[in-house]
Amino acid sequence: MAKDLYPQTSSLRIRRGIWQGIWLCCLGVVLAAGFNGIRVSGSIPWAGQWPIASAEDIAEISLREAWSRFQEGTTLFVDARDPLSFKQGHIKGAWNVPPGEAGRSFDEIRILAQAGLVVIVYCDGAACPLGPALARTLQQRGVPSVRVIADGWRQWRQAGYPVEGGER
Amino acid sequence: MKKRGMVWFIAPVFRLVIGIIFLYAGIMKIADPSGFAQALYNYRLLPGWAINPLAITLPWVECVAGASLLFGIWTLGGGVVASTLFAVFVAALGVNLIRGLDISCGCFSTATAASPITWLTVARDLLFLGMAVSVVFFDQGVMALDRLLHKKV
Repeated sequence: MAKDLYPQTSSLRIRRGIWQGIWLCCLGVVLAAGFNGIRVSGSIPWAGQWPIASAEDIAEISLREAWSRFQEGTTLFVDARDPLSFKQGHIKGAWNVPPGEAGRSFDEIRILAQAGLVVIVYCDGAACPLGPALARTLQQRGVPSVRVIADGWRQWRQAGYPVEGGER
Repeated sequence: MKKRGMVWFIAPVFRLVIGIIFLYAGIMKIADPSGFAQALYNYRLLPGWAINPLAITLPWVECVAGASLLFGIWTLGGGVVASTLFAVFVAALGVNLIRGLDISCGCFSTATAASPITWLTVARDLLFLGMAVSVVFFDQGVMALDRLLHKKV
């Protein structure tokens, strides 16, 4: 039978483990930095260009909450996808504000939001950057209470909630 | 605290299993950092500035922890790192399953179409978490290089 090598009390084991763990993490970070610097292909910059993630300044809304607000009639859904996708199907009553479109619709959305509607921006696919990007633009244009529903179109459709396929 | 019998035998097996898992997962992610960055972004839990640094460093931390466990060098440290990471993974998966996001796990493959997250993924990671925690509490350094290093000192 092997002799005891490590401390036998749990607290001492954890304490030693944390110290060793910190050093192991440091070693990992140093190796990562070195390898990322010298690798021939596939290295990525330390500062990436990501649209936003939810932890930042745009609040997310869950599908359930979005649905209950939809039923109350206090929502304005804004579809961030391209016009063709929008025409093929969208959340009932949604407006289409595709990327690059500016101007009038922002003012209308702001007026409706100021009147008490919750603006919910959606896109298709969790990786779709258009929803968060549009939500941020709306917020910068002074639209209050902008929310994003992540992967909204797929979630909404899968839940069987009302959709429509014509143009608005 | 003399933990002997089954635990004495099983803890090193757990250590080897978790070590291999972490090494494999780390190497797969090192091979495709931009794919892993996309997988991290899809989780929607991190601020944008944190995604690339984490995509670069996390796979190496996994590899170092995996090697530590596999070879039994600073085993307790490797166990603590592995336990912490699994706890974080479980939380991140759970949050996104509750949100209803259809995203890929990014656990062993960085392809976006590979292995969508399910509650089974959470259960699997909870199992791994239990194994990693048992290493911290019960491993006695059987088949570990720590033993050789210890003798030298």
